[in-house]
Amino acid sequence: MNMITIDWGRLVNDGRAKAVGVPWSDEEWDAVINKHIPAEYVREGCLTLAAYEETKKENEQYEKSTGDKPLYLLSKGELQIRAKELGIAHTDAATKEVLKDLIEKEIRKQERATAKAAKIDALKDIEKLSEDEDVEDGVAITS
Amino acid sequence: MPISTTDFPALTDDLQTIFNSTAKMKIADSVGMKIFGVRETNRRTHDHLPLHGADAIREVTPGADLPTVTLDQGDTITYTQRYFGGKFAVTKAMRKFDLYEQIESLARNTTVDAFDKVDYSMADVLTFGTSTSYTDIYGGTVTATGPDGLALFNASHTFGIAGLTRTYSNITTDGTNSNPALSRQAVVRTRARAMAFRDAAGNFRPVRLDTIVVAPTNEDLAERIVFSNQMSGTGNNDTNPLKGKIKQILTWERIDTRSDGTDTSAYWFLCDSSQASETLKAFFAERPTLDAPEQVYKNKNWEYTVDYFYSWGFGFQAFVNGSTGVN
Repeated sequence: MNMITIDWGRLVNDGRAKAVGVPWSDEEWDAVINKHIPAEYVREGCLTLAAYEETKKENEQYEKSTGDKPLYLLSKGELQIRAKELGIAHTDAATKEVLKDLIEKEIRKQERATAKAAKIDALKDIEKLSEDEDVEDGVAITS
Repeated sequence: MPISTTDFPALTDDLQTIFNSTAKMKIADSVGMKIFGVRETNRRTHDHLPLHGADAIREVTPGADLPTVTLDQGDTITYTQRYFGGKFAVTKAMRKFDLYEQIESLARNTTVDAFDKVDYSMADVLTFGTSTSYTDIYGGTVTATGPDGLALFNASHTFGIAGLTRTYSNITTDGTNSNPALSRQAVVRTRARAMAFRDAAGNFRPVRLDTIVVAPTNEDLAERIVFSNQMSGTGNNDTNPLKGKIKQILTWERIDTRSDGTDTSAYWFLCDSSQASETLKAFFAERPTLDAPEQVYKNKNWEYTVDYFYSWGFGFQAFVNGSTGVN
């Protein structure tokens, strides 16, 4: 039984905890509080300023090429809009991290569904093709 | 002479007396009960909300309204009661052969175990002070984060308001290293830092560290550092300014070895005795009590129980500083 309950949602939103129920390690907290690396980047594993700068550059390139920021850099409001667009039901109590996870899962789900649909279409095409070939073969036999 | 069912009320009275005298002795010995803010509660949960930055007192024109105190809400923490207990049986053989000493010993040892575990659970709050989770003396997993999501001791605690702009450390320092071994220099430096403590709004709120808590291993050193007339361990004949500033040294045997068996004898702590209860907290919904069985039978065990409800942990961390003694 958990004897102590703290406001993890608030701590995560403030960048004072890594995730709900997960405090920062000493190294991570040092990166946030002393090196002033944004919590979003520390959550992605950037513990040094060099790693932060490098990841930041990669994100800028990603944004240039796709016109979109990586999910972990979106604000809570932006994530809520994205979640709504994807049909994910949520309340204001959902933290950024939770929304990000749900959106990632939904995107993966949609990608899987698209891939499955494409596969079914491809199989149908193959079946159709082989049916046509059978017909042609049949024609060939009867003729 | 065998103890019969008609002797049950007298035996219960005797065991109650043993329980009470043992409990009294254990509470008097408990260091945890001295430094924790121990409170009674009727609630299953207790919400703690540190408030910071009171800046209400102003000069007021006579007859004008007094300004209302406005405070900034810090982080919240909720403590939920846990239940503990055990029982001992006065068997038929014990009664038949009048093994009164054994019965007495059972009552005493069960009582000692209850109060020792309470004290150990409190000591573990300090000795696991750099961890965010640990297994307690009862075998349960304890979340050991304070309201700001950090362990008891951290170099960068936050207040819960104004983002991350204002922080404070409660890890002992000797001016060069964090977590130094117990030394005069470390006591002096940590006290100086604590006296310059500012709250979330930047107001001076000095923390006066006047109590040293040590394991028996460090008791002698602590007493020499604090109580010597001159500077201890040096050829310097200056008077010892620490003498009189540290009000008490508490030697806590449970700090020697943590409940998981780790040697923590080098750990030492500095507290502000007037405010430590804001940091170290224990809430008893029911203090340990001895209860007699409701029904007794001639041929069955008479089962006496000792049980209690309490929760413990820490809130706003500023009033206790700690060191692992190994930097």
